[in-house]
Amino acid sequence: MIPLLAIEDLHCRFDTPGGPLHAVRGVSLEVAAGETLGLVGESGSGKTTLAKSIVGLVRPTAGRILLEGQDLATADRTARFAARRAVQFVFQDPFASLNPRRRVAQLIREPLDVHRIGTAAERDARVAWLMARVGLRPEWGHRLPHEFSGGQRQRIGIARALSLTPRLIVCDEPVSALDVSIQAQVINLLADLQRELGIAYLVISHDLALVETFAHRIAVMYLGRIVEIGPAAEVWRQPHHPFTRALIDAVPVPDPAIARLKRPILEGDPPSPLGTPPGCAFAPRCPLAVARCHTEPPLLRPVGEKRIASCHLVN
Amino acid sequence: MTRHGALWVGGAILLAVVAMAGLAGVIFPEDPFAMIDQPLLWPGTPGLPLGTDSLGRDIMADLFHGARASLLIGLASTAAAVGIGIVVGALAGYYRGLVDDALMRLTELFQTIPPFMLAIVLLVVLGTTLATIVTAIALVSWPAVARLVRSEFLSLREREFVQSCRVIGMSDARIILQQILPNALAPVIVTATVLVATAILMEAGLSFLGLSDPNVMTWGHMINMGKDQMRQAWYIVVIPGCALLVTALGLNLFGEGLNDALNPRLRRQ
Amino acid sequence: MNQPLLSVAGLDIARSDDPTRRVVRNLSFDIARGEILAVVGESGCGKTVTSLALTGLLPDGLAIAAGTLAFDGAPLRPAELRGRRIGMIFQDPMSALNPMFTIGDQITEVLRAHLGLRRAAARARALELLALVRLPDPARIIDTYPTRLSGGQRQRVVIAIAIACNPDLVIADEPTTALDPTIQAQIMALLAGLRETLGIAIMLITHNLGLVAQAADRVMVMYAGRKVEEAPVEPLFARPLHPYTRRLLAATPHPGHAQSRLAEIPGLVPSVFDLPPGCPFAPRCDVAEARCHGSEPALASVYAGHFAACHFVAP
Repeated sequence: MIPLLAIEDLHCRFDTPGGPLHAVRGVSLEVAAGETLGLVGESGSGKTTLAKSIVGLVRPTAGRILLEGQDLATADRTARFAARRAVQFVFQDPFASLNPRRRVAQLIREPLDVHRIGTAAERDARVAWLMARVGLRPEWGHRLPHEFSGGQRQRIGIARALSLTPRLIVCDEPVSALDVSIQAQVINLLADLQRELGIAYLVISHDLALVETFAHRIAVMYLGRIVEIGPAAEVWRQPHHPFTRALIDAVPVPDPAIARLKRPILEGDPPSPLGTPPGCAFAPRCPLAVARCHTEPPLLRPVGEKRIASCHLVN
Repeated sequence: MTRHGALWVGGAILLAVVAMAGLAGVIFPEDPFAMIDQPLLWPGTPGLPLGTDSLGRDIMADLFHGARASLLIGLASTAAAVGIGIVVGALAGYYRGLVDDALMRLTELFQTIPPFMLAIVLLVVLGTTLATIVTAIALVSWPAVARLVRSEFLSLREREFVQSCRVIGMSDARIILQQILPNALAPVIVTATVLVATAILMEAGLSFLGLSDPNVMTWGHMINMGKDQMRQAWYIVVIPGCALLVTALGLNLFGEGLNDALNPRLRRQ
Repeated sequence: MNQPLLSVAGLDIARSDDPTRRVVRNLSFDIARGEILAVVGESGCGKTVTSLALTGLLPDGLAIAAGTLAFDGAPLRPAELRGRRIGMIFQDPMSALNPMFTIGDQITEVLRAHLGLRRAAARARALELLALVRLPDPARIIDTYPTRLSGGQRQRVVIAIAIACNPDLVIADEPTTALDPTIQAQIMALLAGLRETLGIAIMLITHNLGLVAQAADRVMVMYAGRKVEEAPVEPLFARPLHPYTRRLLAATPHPGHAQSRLAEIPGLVPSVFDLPPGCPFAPRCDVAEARCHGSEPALASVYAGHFAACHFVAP
């Protein structure tokens, strides 16, 4: 079966004053229709660059992005334009991602106008339906974004992404700017929409705890590469890569009995994407690293049935 | 001065100048070049509150008609300069790369020559009519607008709301015109008010050198006419000079007030 | 019991032009020497404003309208204590540091201003502080600029400045929100360690209940400018009394437990200038009844040291 989204050996490299910045270093992953894949990693791991390359905001330097088997880079203009409808993006910052001078109804309607979907009356009706669906009152349509709270603005962003009935929505830290109680509202809204409309999500987050409760599968990125992928509950229960282990240990659990157990703390800072360590990128911070880790980069290999990890110490 | 003060004082001065320009034809229906009385009558002469110049023309009437021409030149040349500046700046800032390099070299070419000198050269080549004066001033004024618009576009194009428009497949033209431009306009409007003042002053300077349309009464033309009688009848130069000064001040105050009023960070407080 | 280090009684913070428009209402709490008090609540609940009042840094337009503040038995004079006996750590370490000065300049400035140390002595103490906050290679870092450091390293520098004058109390306002989870764990471990070794009391302002469970001794929950619950950390998590605390806990992801849905809190935090009648939480509360909309419950002591402001728990 052809996956909804397939990324094959993707590379993104930028020229910066500090030298070439290799943000994404050969990532391959798949997202099936209707599934949620959580992509976690530290800042500088390349997860946002990867997300932006999927929606065409960043041009990859090598590799392929296949949407339902179709390569977007080699597709013609019309096919690429049509693909825009199938993949949408929800931004991290609900304050920056809405044009401050456009009214809410205009913002939600813009995608329909651009793709010339339906008549004017049908577009208006769709905007009203979308607003109601994401929990906004349709009579608020004439308001400007600054009149809304952060959570409400993120709902506007979701309605805008939803307007083209996409098959996949890429969410870049969709709730990290929101309060805890509002985070739950937005996550639940995304989950409800998935159940109703069969949308797939690629959720980028640094919050492993949130991703674990919400995603079907988790992919962990470190310095531009995927180091582990697997079903969310299994990865949480038994991580294979030491970095995944460290991420899990770093999650502050809201239960004093568990939270106060002494857990190992990962030392050091996230590595700079400007450099390239000779062996495993995680080796300098890895508590388990052996000599081989510093010289030979590990390959991503299957571990068990549905999981892959790149670590010399796994089996 | 508080921001409201600047806006109100500047606005009041502008309103007065606009009223002068608008009422010139009503209050002084006759030709401003008409010789109506003895030359060199001092201000305060009955019926001639501002006196007459060396050719016996009513200075009051000239002042009103001059307001019309000066304002017209200021507004028309600024509109043209802002138009060119927005097109050049928007394209350079949005597309960056080669487009930006080419357009910015062109802008620098215009900026390396002192604007006043360039305007003189242009007028000597083109001849002096109202249209060529407006063209010359516009051609030397647009680079400042282009640079401003470019820098606004350079920062706005990276904003997430613009990226969000790319994600939905919006065309570049629509992103530039509908999404970015309205957000970039506030500083351009402020600069434009100052440009109007600069244009009016530049026209006066050019007129002083004799580079004016002989058929149009402007404040600069009035100063040019009176400069030979500076010793015995200084009022002929001082009256339009004051009008220029006050108008330029009014425009600058208005621009400053607008800048504060349009600046969202100050407005929120 | 010993005299508390910080004692706040009946604190009202209101708009300076209108004392009836209060953003913090009748707030009382103590912090003991060496204690970590967590202040929890969503944006707009008054937790940051309270910390600014303690340090005399309230923004223009806000002022203390009522209440007594005491520090170490004497009336609190923020301007004298700030930077000396009360240190501060902010959310964004980059904006807390001046990019134009070296790390050493910024630490020695505090030491020379408050303790009157001479240049050489101040530099020696700065090196000591950088080692204390466990920055690698203090001798090199002391002469670098903030932009050359990672986010976690910058926050360590901010902590070094906060503890430079051996303060009795450090106010940490969302000290790890801007950092990666792995770095967050490092910084929390550092703060806990400083409390152990130096006996510094910490007022930890956060919306992350996981961090509270991990680090705090006592917890104060705020809602709409008021304290709605206060308890030592174990009982607060084991048997939260106020429905807001309960729902906040339920909205926090508990990774590892198969949750199909996060429990969300409906609606929004009300504006402190436009509070609903009765209990401010009543409109969002799942157990509210008529009396909750009628009168605002007073804060009552339910168990020893455990207070809550809810009609359902009043003894």
